[in-house]
Amino acid sequence: MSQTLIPNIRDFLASIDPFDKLPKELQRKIACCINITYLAKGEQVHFGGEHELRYLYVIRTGSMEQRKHNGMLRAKLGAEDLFGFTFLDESQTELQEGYSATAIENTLLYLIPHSDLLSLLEEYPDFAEHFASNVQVRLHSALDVVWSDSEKGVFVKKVSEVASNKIVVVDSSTPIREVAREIMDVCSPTAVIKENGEIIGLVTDRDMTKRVIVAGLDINRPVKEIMTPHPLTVAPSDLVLKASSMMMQNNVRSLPVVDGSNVVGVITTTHLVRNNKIQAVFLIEKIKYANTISDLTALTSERQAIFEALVEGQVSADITGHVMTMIMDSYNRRLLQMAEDHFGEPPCDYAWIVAGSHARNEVHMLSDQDNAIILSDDATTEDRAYFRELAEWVCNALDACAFPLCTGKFMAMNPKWCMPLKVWKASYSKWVSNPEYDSLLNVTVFLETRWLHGKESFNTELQKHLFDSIQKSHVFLSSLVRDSVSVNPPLGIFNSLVLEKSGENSKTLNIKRYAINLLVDLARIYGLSSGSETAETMARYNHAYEHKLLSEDMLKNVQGAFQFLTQIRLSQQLMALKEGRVPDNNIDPNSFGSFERKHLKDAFRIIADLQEYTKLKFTRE
Amino acid sequence: MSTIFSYFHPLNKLKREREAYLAKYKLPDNLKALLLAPLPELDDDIFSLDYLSVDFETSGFEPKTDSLLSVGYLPLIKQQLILSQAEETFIFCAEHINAETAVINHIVPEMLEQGLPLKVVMDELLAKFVGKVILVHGSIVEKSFLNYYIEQEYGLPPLPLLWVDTLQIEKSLHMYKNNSETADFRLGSIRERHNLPEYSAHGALVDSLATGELYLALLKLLFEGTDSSVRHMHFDYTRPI
Repeated sequence: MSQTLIPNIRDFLASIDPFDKLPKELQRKIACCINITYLAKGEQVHFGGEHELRYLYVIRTGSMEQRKHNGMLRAKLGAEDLFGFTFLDESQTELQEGYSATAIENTLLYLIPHSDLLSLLEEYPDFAEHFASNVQVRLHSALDVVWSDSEKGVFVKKVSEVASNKIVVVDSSTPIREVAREIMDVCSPTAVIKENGEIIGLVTDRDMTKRVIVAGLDINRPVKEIMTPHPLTVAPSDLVLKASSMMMQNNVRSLPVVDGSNVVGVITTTHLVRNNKIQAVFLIEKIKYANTISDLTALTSERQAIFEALVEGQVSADITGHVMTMIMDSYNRRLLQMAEDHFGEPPCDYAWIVAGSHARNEVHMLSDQDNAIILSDDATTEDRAYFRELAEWVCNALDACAFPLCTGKFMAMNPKWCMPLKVWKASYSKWVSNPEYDSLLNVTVFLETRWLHGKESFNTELQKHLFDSIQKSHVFLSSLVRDSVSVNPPLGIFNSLVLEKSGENSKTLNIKRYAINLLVDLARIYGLSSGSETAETMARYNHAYEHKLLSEDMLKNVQGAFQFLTQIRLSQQLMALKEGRVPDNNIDPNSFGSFERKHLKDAFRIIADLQEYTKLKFTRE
Repeated sequence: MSTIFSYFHPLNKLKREREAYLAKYKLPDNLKALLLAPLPELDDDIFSLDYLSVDFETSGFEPKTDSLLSVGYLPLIKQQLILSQAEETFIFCAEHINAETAVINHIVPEMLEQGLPLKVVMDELLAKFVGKVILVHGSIVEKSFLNYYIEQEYGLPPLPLLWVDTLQIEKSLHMYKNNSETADFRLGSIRERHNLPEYSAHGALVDSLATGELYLALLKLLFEGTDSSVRHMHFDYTRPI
């Protein structure tokens, strides 16, 4: 094709996703194999049969709609939208034939022959996944493009990425001298002590100096005598941020990295200093040493700076959620300590628990507080007065630190949510056995709780009670399902409007209500039905997959969609903060580029499919 | 009755003119092949025809004094414009074209110095015409430069060829609206009226693509859902005088 034609066609391609991700040369080659056709309003695309050419379609001008064979609207597509991905995968052709595509306006359509595209992608294999027929692969590649690994700071990396694998592991009976020699040989600061295959203790090079040389101990004695028992450890999958925070809190310089009972490495302060300044850890330290509420409120802007750095630094949404959660935890803990200092020793045992997104480790800039108190069953009336005061003080202080009071009043300062353990248990029993529509809506926030302060066993016991009750109930999960599928995701973004399933349009997308919450609700159903201990949305889906409630394919689709949607939400919050606006969950569709619009449509479809599947699975019997 | 009407249909007249032309002149093989290729039948579906969308860039309207600068074309087969078979060629030109032309056409002398000889370009184009309807926007320039070439190169009168002109079709649409005097008939303006995208760059090939897209839109407008047999189409013709 000649020089003059290329710019016109190529420039158009280069402006839309996923072609904008391709090298110029490939864009040009694809432009050269395009066929152009024109559909009158009402005309259908004739999807080629076996012997005809198949195409990837790009709408140049006009608009189209896809309908399933039963007439249900599948999507509306406008200029710059693509369809026909499934043609690229022979095994998916039945899916493709599951819908028809009709022009709803006169439409100029670009057709990229399947065979040409495939052979070009063979030349450029690195870019093939942008055209994957599989929604989940496409979503995944979308995430990769927007949030690259290279720009992530060290503190949001996994421990396994920075830890050293140089670690000494010895049996508890090994003589001290031998352990010292091994430590020298391997250049490890630490030796892990095992007995019968279990990790029972830890010895550092410092312990050698302090507990052996200074104390004048016989170096032939077994190492067990000088070890620190019950050592702190981290898992390879933990965030470096968590590891460093643990080291600071406990004043240790290294932590063994342990996978089950396998010692796989060690992480030391040196690893962290060498790598980066750990803003979030510094903030957590500052929070820990704050003495007054005004010390804490002064840190709000620093917290926002960290949030912005995380989102701007293209850190994945679940990690951002974790970091923001750790920071919120620190505020909350510090305020509880301050409150206990202020009001005096608590008169009885209690647990301060957090609920909702805070419990799920999914805190963001719009998160409000959801918390509660579980009191010891022997708490007296005066005791309860103490906790009411304490809770009120803490909740208001959190509010002052820009963690707004919960509009639904799911807070420990509400006497309803500051109850003895036995009352909590009775409440859960009631909710689970009589899940009337209204009362269920009111308590979903307490279907995930996480211990933060005080007596941890109260929360453990309460959770166990909840799981047991759910196991016994026949109606609870299906009510939860009915409740969660009563709201449907939109079909997509069309022109400047959000296209609802009903065919109605709205001017803004409430990404929380119509997308993210739907996935959180479904995850809760899967998490509760499979007895998942963690409340994190991603982990709940994983757990459901491990318990064979979801196929691998569904798992990846759903997790991809969730990550994509939460990323969008965080980016939108960032944009609002930068423009000096108060972030909210309502997004103007005009702020989406072709990239977001296409992937939002994929994500919405995944949610709708999971709702359908879940409805069948849980309400059939 | 219908046979009589068919006999007088311009398309059948063109057929007879071709037979006469072939009988009268001794033609080189390439022209013979062009005129021997079958023409559409009146009952054929207009949507099923194959076209070659063509545009010439010239330094003026008069083939005797002005030069043909570049030729762009691409086929329209089964209602699809095939970009992979698109061509644009500059024509070697010894004389300097004036600066004004260069500005209008975005063609600078250096392009033409590297161009191909006129005969190579035109004979290649004639070969591409075989079996196709020639599609242009405003056929005067293309027709006159083609006829002039046939005369100069082969000493022959204009070839009896089948054309379709989007400008004429668009104008005929406006006849009914009584605004054919005032309407803007530049290719870009017409395309805008039909909601076709704007092409920023210009040249023989872009314009032939723009014409091809416009024709697809016009065809749908004229024939979608109605009798789309060839007899209802208003073609354009070149005829030997």
